[in-house]
Amino acid sequence: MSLVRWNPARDLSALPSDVLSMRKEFDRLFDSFFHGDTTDTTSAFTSAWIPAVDIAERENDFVVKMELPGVAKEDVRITMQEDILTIRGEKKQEKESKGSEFHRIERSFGSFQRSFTLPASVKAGDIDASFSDGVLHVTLPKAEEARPKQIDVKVK
Amino acid sequence: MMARLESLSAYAPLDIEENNEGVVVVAEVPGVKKEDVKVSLEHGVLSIGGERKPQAPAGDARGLVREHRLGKFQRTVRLPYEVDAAAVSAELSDGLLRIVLPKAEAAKPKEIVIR
Repeated sequence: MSLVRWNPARDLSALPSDVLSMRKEFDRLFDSFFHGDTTDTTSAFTSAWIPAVDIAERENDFVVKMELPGVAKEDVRITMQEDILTIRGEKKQEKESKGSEFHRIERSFGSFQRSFTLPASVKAGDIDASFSDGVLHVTLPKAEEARPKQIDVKVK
Repeated sequence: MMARLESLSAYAPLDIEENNEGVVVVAEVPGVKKEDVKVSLEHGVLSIGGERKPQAPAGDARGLVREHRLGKFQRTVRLPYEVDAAAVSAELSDGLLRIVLPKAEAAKPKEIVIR
């Protein structure tokens, strides 16, 4: 057996092409991320942020709160289909001024969509939504049949 | 592929943008009240601290999903040059904290005329 000098470049070239193209894609993402090029809508980063929610149940309604800092209310759509609540929208990046340079970008932009199945039926016509401090509040009143009922039982 | 859950009030993600006039720092602090945020500047380091307090509905409400992070957050940013501390302004609206830090005269680029 003879000794062969290890050539790291040869090992790289032996990689299957899909691994290399994945590496290229990562390089591209890395590049666009650090150079603030968020106009590329094909990038995995732009369409992949999930706004956090809190959902609480009260006696007569549900309250869904979603963190949407900097999102305009015109850019949010709320729909209710059967028992599924869907909130979708887009967080747009403010127009950057000319001649400016980003030192750091940690915020995410782009479209989002989340759906939730509520544990009881709600009155779709009475759903109320409002924004406060960058948090979307959606109040969904329970349908009559879903409300807790108090029945007086007469004891004879 | 790279979906990540964003509950960032405990962390407050921020963007830092520089132009000829100065630096603009924008931090996301959804659900945080103005009186619960403190911004300070000391020795070229900008500090953003605050607390996200629980909001209504509380009490009889039963939490089904809890992803929002409550509590204190703290971020510090070292500024790349001297700023005019007296002219720094901060504004909180729609869950965004926007801090504008104009460059000090000494830090602005100057053109030197060749005689």
